[in-house]
Amino acid sequence: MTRKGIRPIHCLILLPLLLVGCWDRQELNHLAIISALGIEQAQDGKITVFTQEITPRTLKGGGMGATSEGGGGGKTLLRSETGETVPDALFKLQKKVGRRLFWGHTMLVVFGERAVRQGIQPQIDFLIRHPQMRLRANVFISEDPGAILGIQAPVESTAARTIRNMVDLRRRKAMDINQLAQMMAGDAQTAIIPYIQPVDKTIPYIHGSAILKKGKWVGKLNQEITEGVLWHRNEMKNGVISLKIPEGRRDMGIRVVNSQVDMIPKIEQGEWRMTVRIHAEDDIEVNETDLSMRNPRFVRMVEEAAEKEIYTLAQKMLQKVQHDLKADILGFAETFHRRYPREWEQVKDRWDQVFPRVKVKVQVKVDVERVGMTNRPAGLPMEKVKKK
Amino acid sequence: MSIFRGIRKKKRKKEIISQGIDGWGSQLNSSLDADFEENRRIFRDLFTDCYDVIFHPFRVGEQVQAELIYIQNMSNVEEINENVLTPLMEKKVDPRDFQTILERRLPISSAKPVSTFSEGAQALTMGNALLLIKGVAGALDLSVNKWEKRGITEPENEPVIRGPKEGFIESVRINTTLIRRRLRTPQLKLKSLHLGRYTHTEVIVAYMEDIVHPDLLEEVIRRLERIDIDGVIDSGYIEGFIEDHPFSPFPQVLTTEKTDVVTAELLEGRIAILVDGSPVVLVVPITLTTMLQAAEDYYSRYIPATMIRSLRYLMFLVSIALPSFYVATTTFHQEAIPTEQLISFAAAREQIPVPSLVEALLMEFAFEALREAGLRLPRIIGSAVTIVGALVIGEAAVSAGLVSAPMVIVVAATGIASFTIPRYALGLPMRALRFPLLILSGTLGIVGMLLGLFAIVVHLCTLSSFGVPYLSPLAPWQKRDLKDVLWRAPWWKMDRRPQELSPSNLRREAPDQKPGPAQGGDRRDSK
Repeated sequence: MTRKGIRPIHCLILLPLLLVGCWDRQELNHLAIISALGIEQAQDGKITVFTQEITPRTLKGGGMGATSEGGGGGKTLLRSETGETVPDALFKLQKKVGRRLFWGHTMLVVFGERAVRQGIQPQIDFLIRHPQMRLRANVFISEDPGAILGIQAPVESTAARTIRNMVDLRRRKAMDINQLAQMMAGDAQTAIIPYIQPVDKTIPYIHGSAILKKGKWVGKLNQEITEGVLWHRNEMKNGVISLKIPEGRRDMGIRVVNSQVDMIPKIEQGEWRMTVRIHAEDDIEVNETDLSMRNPRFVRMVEEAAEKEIYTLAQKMLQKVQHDLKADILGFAETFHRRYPREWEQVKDRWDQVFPRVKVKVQVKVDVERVGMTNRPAGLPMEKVKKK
Repeated sequence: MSIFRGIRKKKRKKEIISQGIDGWGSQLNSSLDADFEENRRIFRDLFTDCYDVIFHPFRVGEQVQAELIYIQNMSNVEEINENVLTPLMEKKVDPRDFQTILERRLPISSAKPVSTFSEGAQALTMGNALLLIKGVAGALDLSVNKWEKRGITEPENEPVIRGPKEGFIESVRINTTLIRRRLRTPQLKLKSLHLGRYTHTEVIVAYMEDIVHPDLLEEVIRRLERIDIDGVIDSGYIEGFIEDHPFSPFPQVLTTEKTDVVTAELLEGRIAILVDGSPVVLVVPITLTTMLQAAEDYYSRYIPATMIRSLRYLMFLVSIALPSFYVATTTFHQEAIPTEQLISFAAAREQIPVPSLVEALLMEFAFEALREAGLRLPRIIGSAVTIVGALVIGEAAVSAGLVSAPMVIVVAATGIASFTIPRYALGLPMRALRFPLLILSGTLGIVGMLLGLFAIVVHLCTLSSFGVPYLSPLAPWQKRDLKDVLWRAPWWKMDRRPQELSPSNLRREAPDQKPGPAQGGDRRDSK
C-alpha cells in the first residue's frame, strides 16, 4: 500500500534531476585563468583594466609526447580594455576572449598610480563583492600596471607567482585586498600599499610604498622609510642593518631576526603621548672589526650601536609619516581608540590634526642572540683580534 | 495486451507451485520392502541408464543371496573387496539380521541400516555401498566412499605474508576436518543439513557452543532450512538466500577460503556455513569493519598492523570517491586547486574534446573492462592483456588526446586503492558505486558527490547482517569494540569478544597479561 504510494514521489524527485544537466559545469579548457589584474585610470574618467591570462598550452606544452617547445607566444597573455567602470571594462574584455574569465586564481591586483590618485574605494568594493575574487590577492601600486602584468617570468610560471614568491621570501606581510579594505575602513582611514616597478621585461621590483588616505594617494615612501613603517607595524620580521662600531671603526652587519613593537598611549593634561617600545633580536651577519664577540662588553657595544641605528631610523620615519604626510599608518588611532575610547570619540573627526601633534617617545632595546658560527673575526691572526 | 500478460503470469505461477520441484520419483518415499527381489528390482529401476552404478550379486556364507550396490570410483573398491566381500563370503556366516553382521562380521567402522529407498539412494550417491541380503529386511549403508579431491593449497585470492596458508577445498568433509584440527574441543559443533533437491548438497553449520548467541544460531538454521532449490553449486547460492537485505550492493556475509580466518571468527562467536563442493566458506554475521580487516592484521605486530589498517580505511574512501572528487574539483571548483596544479591540469586538458565527466567514465569503463578481461582470460593470455592495457591506456590514449594524463593517474590510483580492500566481495560494490557517484559529481559538483556519499552512508546505517548493525561498533557506538576497529589492539588488550555476538561469554583471555620485566620478561629476576 505505502510502497505503491511512494513510487510516483520517487519519480517526481528523480526526474527533475535529468533537467538540471551540468548547469554550473565549466571545463578547465574553457576557462581563461587570470593570474593578475591591473586597474589604471584612463582619459575622461574611464577605467582601463589589464589582465594577465595564463596560457596553459605554452606553459606546460601539450600532453605526454607532444611537447611543443617554445611554440611561440609567452606563458602569459596581457589583455586590456577600457570602460566606464571596472566591471564594464571587464564585460567588454570578456567579449574579446573566447574563454570565460576565471578569477579564482588571481593572486595579484596592481593599481596604477593615476587610479590611486583618483581614489580606489569603488574598485576595492568591486574586488570584495566579486564572488570569484580571492581576498588574499596581493595589492600593489605601479606607475604602469600594464608593464608589470606583461612581464614574462623566466623561472616561475607567471609574473604574479614571481611577485607572490618575492613577498613570501621577504617574510613581510604584503597588503592583500582584505587587509586593504580593513585599513581603509579603520580608525585612521589610511593604507600603505607596496610600490612595484619593472626593472626590465622579466624582473619586477618591489621598492618603496605609497600612502593612501581616505582611499586616495597622499605620498610615496622610499624603501628605507617603508621598512621603518613595516617594522613599526610588526609586519616585517627580517632585515639587515649596517652599523658603525666606534671602537672598531669599521662596519658590522646584523640581521634582525625578530622584532616586537609595542605602543603605549597616554593622555596627560590634554597632551597625547605615545611611547613606542621596540625590541629587536639580532644575529651578527658580518664582523668587519677586530673585536672578538666572545667578550660580552663588545656584544653590548654592538647592541648599543644597533639601538642607536634603529632609533634614528624610527625618528626619520616618524618625521616623514607624522609630520610631512600626516597620515597615520602606524596604528596610533587604533591604539588610542582602544585605550581611551571616550577621548577618542571627541577627536575622531579631527584626527588628522591631532595625529601630527602626538608626542612620540621611542625606546629601543636590542639583544644580540647569536654571533654566528665564529666568535672572533674569521680570517684574522689571533694576535690581531681584540679580546679586551 | 497488458491484461492478458497479467493473466498469463498468474497462471504460470500456479503451475510452478502445483508442479513442485521434486527430485525423486514417488516410490522413493516408501520403505524398503521385506522382499529381497522386490528391493533389487526397485533399485535397478531407479538407477536405470546409470552406467556407473554397479550391482554386484554374491552369496553370503556361500548360500544366501545378497547384492552389493555401489558407484564406480566413488566407492573404495579395495575396501569393499577386503572388508565387505571377503568376510561375508566366508562359509560360517549366518545372516540373521544386520546388527549381528555388523557387529561380528564386517570390519567397517561406519555403517548403518537404512529403511527407505530415498535414504538408500542418497547413501549411494554419496559414494557409500548398499548391502541387500535375502531374508533380511532393509539394507545396510556401508561408508566406503572415496573420491578424487584437490589437494589443500594456499588460497590464491587471500594471500598472506605471515600466517597460515592453508585453504579450504571443495570437499566439506575435509574442510570440517581442517577446522576441527584447529579447534580441538567438543564445543565446536558441526551441524549437518542437506540442501538442494537434486544435488543434496551437504551444508555444515559450524559454531562454538558456549560462545555463540543461541538466538543467532537459531536464526541461521531457520534461514538455511527455508531454502528449497533444485541445486546448490556453490556457497554463493546459499548467500543469496540468507542475506538480510537482498537489494543492497554491499555483501552481508563474509566469504573466505582460509581456515584460520574461519577459526578466528568462530572464536568471536560467529557462525560458519560450509557448503560441500565449494572452497568458499560463509561467515555470519559481519560488519563493514570486519570486511576491512585482513587476517594478517592479527598475525603481525600491532603497531604496523594499525598503520596498515588505517591506510586501508583511507584507501577504501579513495577507491569510491577519488575520480568523483577530481571531476568535481576540475569542473566546478577550480579555485580549490592550487594554481600551479591547475595550470598543469589545464594544460593536460587542452587537447581533450570530451568533458571531464565523460573522460572519467571512459577511463573507468576501460579500466573495469581491462580488469574483467584479465580475470576471465586464461592466465597465459592474461599478461598480453596487461601489456596492451598498459600501453593503450597509459601511453597511447594520452598522446592521442583521448584522455588527459592526470585522469590516467586518478583512475590508476583508484584502481590501486580498490585492490587494498582485503575482501574481494567488498571491492565489487565499491567499483559499482563509483559510477553513479561520478555522474552525480559531474553534474552537481562536490555537492553532488557529498549527496551520493551521504546516501551511501545512510544506506550502510540501515543495513544489518543477521540482525547485527552493519556499521557497528561505529554506529551504534560501542566503545569497547573499537579496539579492533580504529586500531588493532595488542593481543593482551583484546580481552573481550565483540559485544553483539557473545554477550554471555565476553571474556576471551585472562586480564593483566601485558608483557614486561615485572611479568617475567626480565631474565635477571630468575637468576
